Amino acid sequence: MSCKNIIFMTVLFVILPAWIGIIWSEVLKIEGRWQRFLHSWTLGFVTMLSIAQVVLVPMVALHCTLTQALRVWQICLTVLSLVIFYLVLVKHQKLFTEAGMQAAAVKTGRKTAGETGEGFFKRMFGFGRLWTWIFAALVTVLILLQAYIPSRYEHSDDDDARFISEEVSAVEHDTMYWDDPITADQLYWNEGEVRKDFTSPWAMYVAMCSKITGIAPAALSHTYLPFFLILLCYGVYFLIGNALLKGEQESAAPLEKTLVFLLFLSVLHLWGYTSTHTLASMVLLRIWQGKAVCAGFMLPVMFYLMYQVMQKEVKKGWLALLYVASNAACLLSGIGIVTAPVLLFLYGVVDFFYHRNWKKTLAVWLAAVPCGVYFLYYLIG
Amino acid sequence: MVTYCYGVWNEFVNFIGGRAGLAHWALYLLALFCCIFMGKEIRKKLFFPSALVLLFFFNPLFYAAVGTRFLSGIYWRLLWMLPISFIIAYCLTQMTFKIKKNVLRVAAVVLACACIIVTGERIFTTETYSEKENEYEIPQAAVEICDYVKEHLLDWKETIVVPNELLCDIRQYSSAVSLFYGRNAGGFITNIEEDEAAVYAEMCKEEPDLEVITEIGKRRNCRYLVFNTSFHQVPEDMTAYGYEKVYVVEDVYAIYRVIV
Repeated sequence: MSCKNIIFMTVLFVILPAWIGIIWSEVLKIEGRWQRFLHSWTLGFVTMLSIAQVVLVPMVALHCTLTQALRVWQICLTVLSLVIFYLVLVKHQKLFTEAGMQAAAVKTGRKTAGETGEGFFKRMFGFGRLWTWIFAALVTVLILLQAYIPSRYEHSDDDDARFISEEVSAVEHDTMYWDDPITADQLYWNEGEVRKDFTSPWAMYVAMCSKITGIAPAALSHTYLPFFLILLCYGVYFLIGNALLKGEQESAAPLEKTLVFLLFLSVLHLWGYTSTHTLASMVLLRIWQGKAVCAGFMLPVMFYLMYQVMQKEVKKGWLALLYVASNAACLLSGIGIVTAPVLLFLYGVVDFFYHRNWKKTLAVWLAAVPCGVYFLYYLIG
Repeated sequence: MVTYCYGVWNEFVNFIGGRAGLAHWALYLLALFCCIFMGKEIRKKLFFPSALVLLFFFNPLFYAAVGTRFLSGIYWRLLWMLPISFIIAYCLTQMTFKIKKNVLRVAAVVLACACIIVTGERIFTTETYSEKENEYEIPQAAVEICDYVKEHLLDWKETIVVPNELLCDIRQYSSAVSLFYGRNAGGFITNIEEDEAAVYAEMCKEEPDLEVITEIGKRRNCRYLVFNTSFHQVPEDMTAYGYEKVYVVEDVYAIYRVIV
C-alpha cells in the first residue's frame, strides 16, 4: 500500500461520500457528531452508487467508452458537491446572524455545563464509563483487524476471473463490456457472459475508481477496496445497532450498548465461516465483488432505511432514500435487483398491517420500480 | 412438489454449510423467537419481516416459480435478506444488559462470545488467506507469463493456453493476453466448443497428447502454450510439433511459442 494510493482512496471512499451525504444529514436533521458523520458517509456512498447506476447502464447500452462514462459521473458528483457547498455556506451564514449566534451560544453553554465538575469526571472515569472505553477499544481493534487482514493477505476467488478481467479490459481498452472476459473476443453488452453484468455494472464502477486513482484493478480490488468497504459496512452496522437498541423516546441508544452489539457482530463474523455463502464469508472473504457489497452493505442499508420508514411518523427524506438505495442495489449485482424489491414488498406489508397507511406503503412499494425496470431490461435487452 | 421441497432444502443446507452452520442457525432461530417477547417495535422490525422471508424462501411454490427460473443454483442468496447476525447480536446485547452489575454483565458478554466462537468456524485461517505474492494478489507466475507475452506482442492481443491452476488469474493482470478457454472449461456459465474441450482434456492429463494440443493451437492461432513442468510431462524440444521453448517462469512454467 503506498501513501499516495491511500490518500486517493480516502478521498474517493471516505471524504467524497461523507461530503455528498451531508445533504441527507441536513434533510433528515440528524443530530450528534458521530451520527451525522456515519449517516453522511454511508448514505453518501449509496448516493454515489445510485448516480453511477443511472449513468452507466444507458452508457453501456450506447456503447460509450469508460472515459465518457467517467466524465459524466464526475460532472454529476461535482454539481452535487457544489450544491452541498452552497447549502453548507448558507447554513453557516445563518449561524453568523445575531439570532444564530445566540442560539449557538445557548447550545455551547449547555454542553459546557454538562461537561464540567463532578458530572464530567464521573462520566469519564466512573466504572460504567470505563467499560465503555474498554468496549470501544475492543470493537475498534476487532473492526480494524477485519478490515486489515483482507487487505494485507491474499484470498483468491474464482469469480474474479470474470469481474476483475472486465475491469482490466475496461481500463486498458477504454471500453465497457465490449469483449469476452476469457477469450477477449469482441461482443455486445447483451451477449455471452457479460450479459449478466450490463444491468449491474459494479465492475465498471470499480474500473472508474481504478482510472481515477491509477491503481490497477486487481490491486484496487484485492488490496484497497476491502479495507474501505469493510469499514463502510461496519458504519452501517453501527447505525443499525443504534436504531434497534434505542428506546422509543431516545434519539440514540447508549453508546455502550451499541458497542456491545458491534462486538457480538464482529465475533459472529470472525467465527461465521460455516459456508462460503454466509454474510461473514461475503464480507470478509470477497467484499470487492458486487454481490458481496450487496449482501454486506446494501441489504443492511435497506434494513436500516426500513427501520426508519416503519416508524409511525416518518420524514419524507427516508422514503426518498429508499428510491436511491434500491437503484444503487441494482448496480451491485443481479441479486440486488431481485432482493431489494422483495425486501421493499415484505417490509411494506408489515408496515401496512401496523400503521394502515396506504400512501406510505405505496411509496415504499414504488421504490422497487427501478429494480423492476432493470429486471425487464435484462430479460428483453 | 417433493422435488421442489428437496430443492429448497438443499439450497438451505448449502447456505448454512450443513452441520457446521447448524449451531449458529439454531442461535438465530432462538433469537428470532425471543424477538416475539421484546416489544411491539422489535416484532415489527425484526420478527415479522424475517418470518415472511422464511415463508417465502421455504415455499416450494415460490421456489418452483422464481427459484428454478431466475435463481437457478443461487436461490440460497435470498437468505441474505434475513438479518441473521443482527438479530443474534441484538438479542444477546439486550439479554446481557438486563444484568445490572457491570462485572457480571461483562462476564455474560465474554460467555456469549465464547459460545459463538466454540460453535462457529474461524474465518481467518491459512486455508482462506495466505501471504500475498504481489500487490495484485494473484500468483506471481501469472504476472510473469503475462509480462513476457506483452513484451512480445505481434497483435493487440495474443491467445494462449495455460495450465488449469492459472486459468482464473491471467486476465486479472492483463487484457493483452487472452485465453483459448478459461473457467468455462469446467462447464461454468458458458459452454466451450469442441477444440477447446479437446485441449482442456489433454491439459488435465499428466502426459498430454501434444499432437492434439499443438495441431489445434496452430490452427486456432494460439501463439503460446504454457505447461506446468512439475505436473505435465512434456519434452524440452517441441520443434517437431511446431513450437519452441522461449521462456521459463519460476522454474516450473515453460512457455512455448509457435515457430513461424
